[in-house]
Amino acid sequence: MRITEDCIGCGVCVPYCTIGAITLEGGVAVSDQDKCVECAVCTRCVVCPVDAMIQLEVAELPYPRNLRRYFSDPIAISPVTLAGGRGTEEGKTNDRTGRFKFGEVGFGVEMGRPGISTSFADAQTVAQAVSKVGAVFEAKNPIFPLLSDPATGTFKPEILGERVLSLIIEFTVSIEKTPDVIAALRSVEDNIDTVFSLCAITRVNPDKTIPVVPWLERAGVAIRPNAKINVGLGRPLIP
Amino acid sequence: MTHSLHRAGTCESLKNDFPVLAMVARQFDIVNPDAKKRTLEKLQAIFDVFDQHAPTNLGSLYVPGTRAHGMTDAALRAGLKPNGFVGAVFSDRASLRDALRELKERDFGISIIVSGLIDQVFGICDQVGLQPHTIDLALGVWGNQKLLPKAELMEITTMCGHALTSASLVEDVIDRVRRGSLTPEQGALELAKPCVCGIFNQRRAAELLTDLAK
Ligand code: SF4
Ligand code: SF4
Repeated sequence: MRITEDCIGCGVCVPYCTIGAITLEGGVAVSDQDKCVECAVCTRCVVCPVDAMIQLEVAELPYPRNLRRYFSDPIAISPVTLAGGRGTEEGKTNDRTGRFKFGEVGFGVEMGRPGISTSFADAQTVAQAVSKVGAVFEAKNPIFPLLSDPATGTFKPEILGERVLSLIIEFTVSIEKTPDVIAALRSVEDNIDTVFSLCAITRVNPDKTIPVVPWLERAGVAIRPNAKINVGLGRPLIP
Repeated sequence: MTHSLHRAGTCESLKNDFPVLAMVARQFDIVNPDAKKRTLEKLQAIFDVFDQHAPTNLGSLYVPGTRAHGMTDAALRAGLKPNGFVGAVFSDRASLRDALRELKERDFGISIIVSGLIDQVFGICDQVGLQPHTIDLALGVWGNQKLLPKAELMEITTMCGHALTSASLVEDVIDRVRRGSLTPEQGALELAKPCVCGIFNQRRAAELLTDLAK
């Protein structure tokens, strides 16, 4: 989002910015173009009294800057998934698609979340680390076509400096690889200038135990008490 | 993939907060015009089921607005698309249980995903006779933790799973509530504005704001 010279410096837009890219300088608002992730929250939520905020759409922004727009604004349609949002259907439709089977774990590493943003360079650091322990990246995820080498988790060089509010590195491994994935993620925690929210997706056993829990506990990972649960109402149901 | 997961807060603060999604499977549900028509009818019917069981918020990614934005339920329903989803938040267990019971009886076949405290959601599944199929566990925030805002602000910001509600906006709204220019309920609606898919729980936000503004 760019601010024109019509700005009168009222400051109303400043707190709405998702990542603190708007500041008041010399009596007018300025949006830091390096930080701004083109999420459009400011233009959607604030009525600028002098109409000084300009938000370009995916098709209007040049590549690779347009990546910011469709990764950061869930309403913007990704040319890859042809859907809004940053991820895939993953476990949400697993009762119908069978994407995650017993004995498997799907990991979602949501880079930049919550509310910090990430560069593709930091995402590459994480993707390369998990690829070394056998992560196979989900081809339907909007980051997949941006990988120049999916086997090693390497992104196209021209996008490494782009920033997005978040992106999700999605991959599935056999459950026995859980400790390796956790070790790989721990090894890069100090090498990135952002955060990531981590999730693990598995089938629920018929007795309602969760097969990945012992693996995570042995690896010393704290599991939050709240989760997202597919309650098995899809039809036909994958048993 | 995870926008209704990763809500921050204690068990006490999360015990009345249940985001629910009805999600289409693109490989089956939108493959031809007939499938799209059937899917849209199912989503509309699911929307009505949610609506009848007193959700706190209601929305869909492809409709530009949610109940918290003041969109009427009729306008939200009219804007549903077959390639989308319906999102709702329930703020009490009984409403969620009754909504799930009706969804089970009517057997739409669309995947339903409930977020919340695991013990509570599994307990409600037991009451309704549902077998949880797949679970997405939240394993916390990793990396450079120094970049994060205060934990109490994240209890509110993480209710927009796409991270569109900023910590600076929460601070600004707390300040406005303290000064008396907004009530906690009005402040909560302001904080729900950035969320586009209807899973921000403005009732929980109002309760948290009341405490934070003290
Ligand atoms: S709302 Fe408009 S006038 Fe006010 S600071 Fe922002 S850009 Fe400037
Ligand atoms: S588009 Fe998003 S990141 Fe950019 S200035 Fe607006 S709110 Fe901030």
